[in-house]
Amino acid sequence: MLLRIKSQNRQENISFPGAVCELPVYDLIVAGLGTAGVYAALTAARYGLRVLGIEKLNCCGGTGTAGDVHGYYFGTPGGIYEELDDKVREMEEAGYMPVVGLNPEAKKFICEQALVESGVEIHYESRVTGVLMEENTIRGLCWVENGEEKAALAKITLDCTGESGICEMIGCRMERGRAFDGQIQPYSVVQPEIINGLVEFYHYLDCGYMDALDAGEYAKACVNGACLPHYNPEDYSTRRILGISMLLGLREGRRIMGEETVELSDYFKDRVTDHPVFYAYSNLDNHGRDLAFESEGLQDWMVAASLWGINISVPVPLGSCIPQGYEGILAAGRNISIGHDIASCVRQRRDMQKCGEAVGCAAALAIQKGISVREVPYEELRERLLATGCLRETDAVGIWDIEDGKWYRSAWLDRAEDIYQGLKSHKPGIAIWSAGRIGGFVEQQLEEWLSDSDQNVARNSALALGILGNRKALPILRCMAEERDPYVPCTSRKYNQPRGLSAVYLLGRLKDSEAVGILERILETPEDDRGQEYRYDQFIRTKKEYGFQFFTHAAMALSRIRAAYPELEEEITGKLKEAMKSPFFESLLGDTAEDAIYIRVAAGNMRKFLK
Amino acid sequence: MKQYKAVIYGASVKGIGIAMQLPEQTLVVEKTSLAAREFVSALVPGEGSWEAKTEPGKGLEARYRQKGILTEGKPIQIAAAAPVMFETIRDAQIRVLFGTDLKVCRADGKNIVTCYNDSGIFQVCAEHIYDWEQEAAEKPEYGKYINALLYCDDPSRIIEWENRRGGIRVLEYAHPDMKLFCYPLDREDDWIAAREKLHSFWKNRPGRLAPWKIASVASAFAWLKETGEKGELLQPLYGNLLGAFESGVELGKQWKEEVKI
Repeated sequence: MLLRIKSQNRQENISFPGAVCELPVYDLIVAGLGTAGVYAALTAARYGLRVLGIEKLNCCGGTGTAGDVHGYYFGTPGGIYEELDDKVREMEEAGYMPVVGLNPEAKKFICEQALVESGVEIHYESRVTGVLMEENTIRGLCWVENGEEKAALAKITLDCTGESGICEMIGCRMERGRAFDGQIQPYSVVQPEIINGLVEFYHYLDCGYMDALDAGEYAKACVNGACLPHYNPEDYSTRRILGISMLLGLREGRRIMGEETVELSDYFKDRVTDHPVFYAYSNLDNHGRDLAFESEGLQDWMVAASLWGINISVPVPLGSCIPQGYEGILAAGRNISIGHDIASCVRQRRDMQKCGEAVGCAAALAIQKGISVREVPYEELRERLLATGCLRETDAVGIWDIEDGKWYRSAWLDRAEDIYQGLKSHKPGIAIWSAGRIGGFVEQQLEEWLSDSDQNVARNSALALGILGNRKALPILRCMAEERDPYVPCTSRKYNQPRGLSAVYLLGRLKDSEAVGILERILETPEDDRGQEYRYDQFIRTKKEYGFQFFTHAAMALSRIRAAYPELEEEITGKLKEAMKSPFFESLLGDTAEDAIYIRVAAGNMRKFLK
Repeated sequence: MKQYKAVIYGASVKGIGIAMQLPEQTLVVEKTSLAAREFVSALVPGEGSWEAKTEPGKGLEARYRQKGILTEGKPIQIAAAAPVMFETIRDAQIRVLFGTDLKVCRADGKNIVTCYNDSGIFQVCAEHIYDWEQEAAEKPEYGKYINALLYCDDPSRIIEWENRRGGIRVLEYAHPDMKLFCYPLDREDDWIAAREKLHSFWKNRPGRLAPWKIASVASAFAWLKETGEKGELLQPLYGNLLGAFESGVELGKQWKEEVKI
């Protein structure tokens, strides 16, 4: 039997040195008892399987316990996690400090006890060092535990490590980050603290970016994060700090290429699975502010229509958890096969807990029936998941919005008069997107509304036409860009985009060669708000951030135009080079503000990737 | 195979003190993402003098005082102590591999250290190995504890806890509305057993502890010996964080001055 290990960032195959027949045999090995792994192990064990859980820390629960992110952010209710959460709340009442969310000490204990009572064999402080394989079938794992090397066999292995460490080791096809520069979402350090009699954790920063499978980068992140003034203030005397989280807050990392992949572009076209094992529910919670480098689809949503805050529900199939080309292995957690664009929605803890449960259930069915997990009958799996609430009959694709503090189910508009009213309002995003979805007869209306006397109608129609790729929007888009139209809609609860910025983006999307002069002027004077005194908000907080947004969007727009018009290549390339030597750009590269790390990193990436 | 003067297992305070003296020749290997766990994560403020004898020790003490983490007449706010240790790592350019485990074996009179992390497996060679937990656990007078920070929002309800040899201790912390709770374990207790014992006790805790709530539980075991007239107090190796640091500084100097192999 081959042992696949990783040495100096390279995978190697060696013969397993021990006697395979003497190895303990389990039904299931769960690598990583974090957010997904706990529920995967628990579910499988409750189905009577012999389960081994390997965890590198000394506790289970992952981000919600060791990571000190105590509160949930959206996600769907239902599933076995609710049963444990109820026990956590009960335990909290009896002598534990109230926290914003679920008490992590109670959760660690409740989850651990549930695993132990179900017969899961837990090995803490254990790190996977190799994978036992026979051709493309995973047979087990090797790990190091308190300085001792160990190994075990299993019918199925679950990679719940968050960063797909197991899948990466065996050579699964992987993806990471966005297309432009491979950038993933930033990580955070969490520092829980007692504030007014409550344990709070929300006051964290986006600390930087790193490749979690690169030991050097990981080490730097640990040190740099903890040394940021935000976590290392000059005066602790009145603070009641409870420590720094054991687990860095990683939002995104490597994802497997699965038998099925959930992509935002498919979601936008209503091409979704009809055999989900769980639903994800959240907004596209992208923490990056360098949206100019994201895909067109994501920018249409975030930048053109300001839909950052609209929640969507996304059905996820089991195929997203099955790595292509391998048997005996599944993934569960944020490392499943989901595109970068939609990953910011499909990563919330409630949903990752459900992912674990669904994968544990599928693994149990496969093992009990003696079949490949690819052959697990969907209806039987669905029935089991409905029974616990992991799947609910009421789960459906949809959008949700918030008004006066209350969330409600919204819907795309399909009547021209409703779209018109929406475009006229201060929350035009739903109307803009709805128009984009319909196209057809609405597109003709939009073209007429370009000359509407109401400026909102005219300009928002231009945005909608821009998303549709309709060049009749260009004159108004050019005006908006030239003016740096400061109007910011109220479509989302935050992170709405100034209309001038939306226009700059769309000029690039439409590859408007006549806009080159406007865009070049923006590059020359990015911070110039044309005397309109821009009202800063949560997305653009300072003049520099204002300049950064216009600069990056203008640069990317010019880059798109350059690609479409070879005759403009020399001019545009010259302007981009000049812009990237400007004092403003140098100030981006040298920005040391701890709450604006994205500026320095994005500028560095621009220099590297934008030639 | 790269050769080091020392491999330090665990970014412990003493280990950081050692590494500071010979940063180019030391590799620190820490399995978590945290430093100084034996004090900070274990919630061990320690006892004894905070008067530094070495220059690095004076620098560390000054930094803690400057930030209000260490103030006269009060225990150190130990839960807040980690960032300064990370500063020390950064400023001294100590090479620390976080998220890394190791295995040591002896061959030809040398220590062969196999390291395991997400970049893979690699080996180095070291003349000296230092492991804080091993040093503490080898001393029979040091017992294993799981500590917790307690908080009470109504000081008028507080009743003094009588600390006794062999029993649970409730000790002072940096803030009057917080206490340090120390629960003794058996040496062979693992994390599952430790949490079971702690939380079961807490569920049925005596009335004197009723006003208190657990704010956080240690994520590292504490190795403590009983001190005080009636064994009512608890002290870690070297007394406190500063003592451990300076012990490391001295040992590091010693190793630095040794003749190279």
